[in-house]
Amino acid sequence: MPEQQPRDTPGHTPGTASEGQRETPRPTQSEGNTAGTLPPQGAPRAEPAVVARIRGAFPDAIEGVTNFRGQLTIRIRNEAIRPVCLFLRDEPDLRFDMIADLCGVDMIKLREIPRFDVVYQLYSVPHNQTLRLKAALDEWGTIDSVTPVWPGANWPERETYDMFGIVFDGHPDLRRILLPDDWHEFPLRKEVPQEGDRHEADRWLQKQDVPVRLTE
Amino acid sequence: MLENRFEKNILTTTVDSLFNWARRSSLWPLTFGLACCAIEMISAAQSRWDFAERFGMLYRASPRQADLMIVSGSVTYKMAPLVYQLYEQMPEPKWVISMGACANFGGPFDTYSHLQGVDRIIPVDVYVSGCPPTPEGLIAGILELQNRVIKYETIAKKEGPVVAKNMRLKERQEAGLKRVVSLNQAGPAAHTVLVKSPHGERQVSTLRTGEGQPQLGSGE
Repeated sequence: MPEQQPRDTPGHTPGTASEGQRETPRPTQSEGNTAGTLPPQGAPRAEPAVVARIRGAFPDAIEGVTNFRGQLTIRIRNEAIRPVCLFLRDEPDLRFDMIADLCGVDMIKLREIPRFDVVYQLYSVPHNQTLRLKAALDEWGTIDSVTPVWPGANWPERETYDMFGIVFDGHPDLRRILLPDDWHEFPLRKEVPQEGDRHEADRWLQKQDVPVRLTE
Repeated sequence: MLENRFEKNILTTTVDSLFNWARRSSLWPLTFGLACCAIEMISAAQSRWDFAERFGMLYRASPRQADLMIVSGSVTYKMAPLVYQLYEQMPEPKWVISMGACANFGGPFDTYSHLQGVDRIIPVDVYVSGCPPTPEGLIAGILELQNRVIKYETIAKKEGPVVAKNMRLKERQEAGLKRVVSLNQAGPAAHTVLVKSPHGERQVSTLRTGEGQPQLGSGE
């Protein structure tokens, strides 16, 4: 304990630690960006280098770019998603070699068509960069699976299919992952109420030979 | 003469009391946890509360050696058939404690995936409230269950498996019936419940509210 005392005291007096961190100028953090794709905070923002690289390789793939608080989101045309992802993974100055997450969004209350968005959260381990891609698809449309690009997208795509019914073309094993295989609804679609269809769920239990007291 | 001679070594009692005393004092729960309530159950069994040793309980890994099921946590629809199967694999006599809000009635998970109370699929003897219940709460539930086990009618059960099962079904449905009746006092008072008959077939029992006392009528 006595050895820890001198180390602890300067940083842990209340108030000083958090203020000290807040006063740290932001540009010093962005100095770590070896790839240099993001400009320093506060500077007038030019088009990020990633967008320029994608535009160079796929002139008509990008539908829109938003940059909110340093979080870059690129909207990609549905058909172009797999080649763009391959490009982002393999280019030595981009190297988005990890898919951190993949999920769906039901956009029915925000716009008419297309109904769903698929959101890809990418991360580049060598360059310590993050990137978000979005692609849209219609209610019964399909989108190319990125499991051939990142094997880690396998289960997130299955989950997205499970919750929204979004079909991923070229997925090696597109089954439900959380709900039972013969479940009757895609529960995160907006038309499904929060509690789902309890009568159908009771019927499912009866099919499994479970005597259930039915929902009133 | 006999009473005086064997006073120090022999107790006279009924077989029921003896059996129930043994059952009460060695409830063997199934090693079985579903969610965060299981953490509380585990910590109740650890050295701080030590309820397993204190009440002569021993966690058994096999349902065939257990006579108490503590449903500790939320039961999803996907898990429900497995819970039911485990319950069916336990030998008679068996008891169920529903631990925590999720197992009691669904708790905060009023969602598409959660069974709204484990008593929809298996009969429950003791409900322990809390989210999650403290180990003390679970111990109170165990004590309450012990008070029930001591009243169990062993000899009546042994008249035959069919009689025993019917009696058991009846007393548990009556326990569940009270709640259903009180829920539906204003509305139409008839309910359909699916049960398994002693011969393994399905049988639909209609529970009707008579004048004052609920009655149990069964029809195919």
